[in-house]
Amino acid sequence: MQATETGLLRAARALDRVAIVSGHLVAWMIVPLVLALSYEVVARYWFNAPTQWAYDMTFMLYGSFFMLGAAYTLQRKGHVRTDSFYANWPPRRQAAVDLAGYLLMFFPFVGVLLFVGWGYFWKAFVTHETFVSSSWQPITWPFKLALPVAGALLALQGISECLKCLHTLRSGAWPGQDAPPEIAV
Amino acid sequence: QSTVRMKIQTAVPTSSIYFDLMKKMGERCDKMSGGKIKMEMLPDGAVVNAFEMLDAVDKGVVDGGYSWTHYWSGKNTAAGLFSNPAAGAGTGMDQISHVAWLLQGGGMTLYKRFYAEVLKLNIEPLMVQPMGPDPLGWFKTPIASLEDMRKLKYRAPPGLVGEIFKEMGINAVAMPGGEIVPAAQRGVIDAAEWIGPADDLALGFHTVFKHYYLQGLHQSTDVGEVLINKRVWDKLAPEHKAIVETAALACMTETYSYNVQRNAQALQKIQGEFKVQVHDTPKDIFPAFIKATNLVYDREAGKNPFFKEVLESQRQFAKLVVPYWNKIVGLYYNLGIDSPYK
Amino acid sequence: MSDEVLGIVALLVLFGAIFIGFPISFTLGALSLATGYIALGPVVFDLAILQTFSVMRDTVLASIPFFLFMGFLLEQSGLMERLFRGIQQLLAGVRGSLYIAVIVTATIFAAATGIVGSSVTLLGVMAGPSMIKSGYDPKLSAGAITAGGTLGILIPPSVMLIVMGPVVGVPATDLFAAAVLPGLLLSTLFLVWCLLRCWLNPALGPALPPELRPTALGPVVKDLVLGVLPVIVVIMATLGVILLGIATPTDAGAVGCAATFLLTVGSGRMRWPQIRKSMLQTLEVSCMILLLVVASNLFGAVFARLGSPEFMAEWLLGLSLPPMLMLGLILGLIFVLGWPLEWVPIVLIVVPVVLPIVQAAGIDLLWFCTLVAVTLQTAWLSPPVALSAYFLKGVVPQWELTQIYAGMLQFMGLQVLAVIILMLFPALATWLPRVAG
Ligand code: NA
Ligand code: NA
Repeated sequence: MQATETGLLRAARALDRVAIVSGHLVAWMIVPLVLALSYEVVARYWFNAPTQWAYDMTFMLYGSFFMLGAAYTLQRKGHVRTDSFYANWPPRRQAAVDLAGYLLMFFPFVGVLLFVGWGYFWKAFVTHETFVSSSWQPITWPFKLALPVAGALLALQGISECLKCLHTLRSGAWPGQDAPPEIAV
Repeated sequence: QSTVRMKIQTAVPTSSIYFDLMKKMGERCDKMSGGKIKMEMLPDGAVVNAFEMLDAVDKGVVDGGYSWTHYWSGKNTAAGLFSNPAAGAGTGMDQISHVAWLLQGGGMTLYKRFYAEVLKLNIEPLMVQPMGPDPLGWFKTPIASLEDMRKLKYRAPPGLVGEIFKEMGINAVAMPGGEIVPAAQRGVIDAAEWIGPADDLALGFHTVFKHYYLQGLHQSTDVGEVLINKRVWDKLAPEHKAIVETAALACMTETYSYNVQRNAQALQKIQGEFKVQVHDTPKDIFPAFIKATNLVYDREAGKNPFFKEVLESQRQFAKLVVPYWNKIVGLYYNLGIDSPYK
Repeated sequence: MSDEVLGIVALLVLFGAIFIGFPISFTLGALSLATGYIALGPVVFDLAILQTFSVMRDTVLASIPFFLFMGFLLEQSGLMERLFRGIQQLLAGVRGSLYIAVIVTATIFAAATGIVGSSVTLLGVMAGPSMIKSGYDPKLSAGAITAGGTLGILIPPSVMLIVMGPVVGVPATDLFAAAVLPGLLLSTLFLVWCLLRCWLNPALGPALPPELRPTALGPVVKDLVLGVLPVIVVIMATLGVILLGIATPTDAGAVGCAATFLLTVGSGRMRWPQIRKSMLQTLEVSCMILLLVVASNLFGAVFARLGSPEFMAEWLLGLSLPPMLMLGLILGLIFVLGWPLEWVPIVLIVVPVVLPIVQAAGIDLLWFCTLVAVTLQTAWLSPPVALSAYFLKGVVPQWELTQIYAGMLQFMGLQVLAVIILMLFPALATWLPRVAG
């Protein structure tokens, strides 16, 4: 029994690593976001020479930023819940509700991002679709790829969370490092 | 035959004259079909963002969409030639000649092929509203030359026109109509074009810009389209398809009449009530525009065979009609008299 | 069941489902997909993707990560805490001084931005920790921050009024002028409410105990000036360029981040661990907020596609009532719709449906629009679909959502009061445009 539990947790921890590493990488995207737009502001307001690319670059980076970070946020328990009842439940009931939530709500939603999103990426990729929102006209597929990648990362992290729920259902307590379901602000 | 209901999302707000024209087209279909065709028009953004409309209609998220072909230039650059061949594809075709190309010069065949074979979408397209020419647009500060315009960020229609402006050294961004005034208010852009006096006024352009330049070549012709999801279209009986197609033709005529009268009314209001200064466009912009247009179009024709085919069809047609139509039409703009109402 | 009724049922299910305690964005997303699938079939999956792309391409929402990053940098450097401690010491004898600080800052911020999300997050980051440390009442604190934050959508420049203008055919500048006094009215009501409650019950916003008060004002002022002035300069410069119409909130946010970064790192207050923490927090809270925006837009789009808003509006119009009663009912409908929907679908879909009736009744359009705008303010404060609550929860996790909800409801009551005052005194809306125009 003990062996399976640690097996569950070991698998969950391995999946957690994926989300954590992805989060630490994606967090860096704020740097080019700030730099690109600051450069544009200086070029535009001081030198009357706005760039062709800043408008598109901003939404491409910002859109990818928050989608790709969603799995990391899930790992950190950062997606907000209405915890008025939930917080007072014993861990087993919390885990049962979470498990049902992941299977009935989370995976269908994430599956749409992953599979339907992939279709949009693939079509943009093979047709060399470009954005027409500026004369820069960058290709769209890197931006559209963010959707299925976000879906895949979320799905992996969802599996990890389900494993933790199973562990909790068996042992009656949440695994140690996941105890405080708070954002560490 | 049971009633076919269509939710059609437009790319304009409810206050647009083109929204009004679409509602009238829907009412016509309803009456002619004895209530068997019900079209409900929705404003821009009601279900999806205007730039996502093509995918939305293709997948059936909405039954139909009202937009302009050049919005899909990112899928294929030839799109712009159907709705918005800049400066008449560099040939001098005006708005009526462009519609003549569509209806008589093989344009509609190419247009349907574009959606069915080139983009491979489940879409039945209809041309409905020739609304050009579009003014160069609205400016926060007056411009005296092309050089002045190069210092500004300018909202232009999406597609190759953006590239033409880039070739001219002008910084163009494209955004859906509803975002233009908010963007100008917040300083994203310094100048903008949208459609014409009536719709520009309805969107409140006069509240942020005080200078209006009437003549422009970037949309010397500009045709609005209705895209209908193929599955919905195929639900229509043959006689009902004919009704929709006829209503589309009727909408073209009504659009011409709206363009003249509503835009003139709006221009009076813009100048009189809102004290906007209306200027003539600086002359050096036109030759630079035509030069850039031909350069960009020829370059594009070298890269995209379908673009080349459409462009050649337009140039061929222009060879036929320009010597006749342009030759005489200049005189008739003023009917040979120095009008007292000028 | 017709599509329209299905939409209303989905709404009722949503109220229950959100209290299950599963993350709200996924609950909302899945419920939208299920409802949409029943009515529309598999196209709802495409709708979900298209809605997601729309949020990903929204350059106004792109300001949210910037304002968060700015806030977290300031917070990690300890400067914000110092600022609020300074203000509190300065106003040490005044009960509820932090409420004053929050509402005044919120009003200034509202005049600088046209959006809600970034105001609530920035105010939350700035004021939340100080309020907790000073023993302030969580409910009233959360209410003041969320309500203050929503002023941004009413006090010009307002994205909502800009969108509403073309829908009703009234110039946005007139709407701006009309919204100024009602906006200040709300801000005053908020302030009076906070101070009144503190006066009645000092425990809600305790003044500093005498032994903690500074003996002399000199050192406090000096500390404020030397330690915090640079930060204030950065914030004012950021807000100033927005206010003067020089840059967008997004542009200004980016520059504000760069400036804050240079300032905090340059002053030696930031080391790599603090910087990394700020970056990770920015990512985490941005994802939480924006994924929720995706899910709530999807729900709104499904609800609109089903025709439920028109259905409710048309039912109302079928009653044929006297104008004032009709106006009250229309506002009531908008109030109710503001619960599940955000203002965008209401302005775009419901307002055009009721507009002919309003015109037929001879109701002044400017007045009507202002009433609608103030009523729609409540949509930001109506739990459980009230984004402000989650914006705040994201940055001040110590406050329970139920406390935040309870705080918001008080201020929602004040907004209803403002709507009633505005109904009784139309001049509050119509006077300024007449004078200015
Ligand atoms: Na145009
Ligand atoms: Na709400």
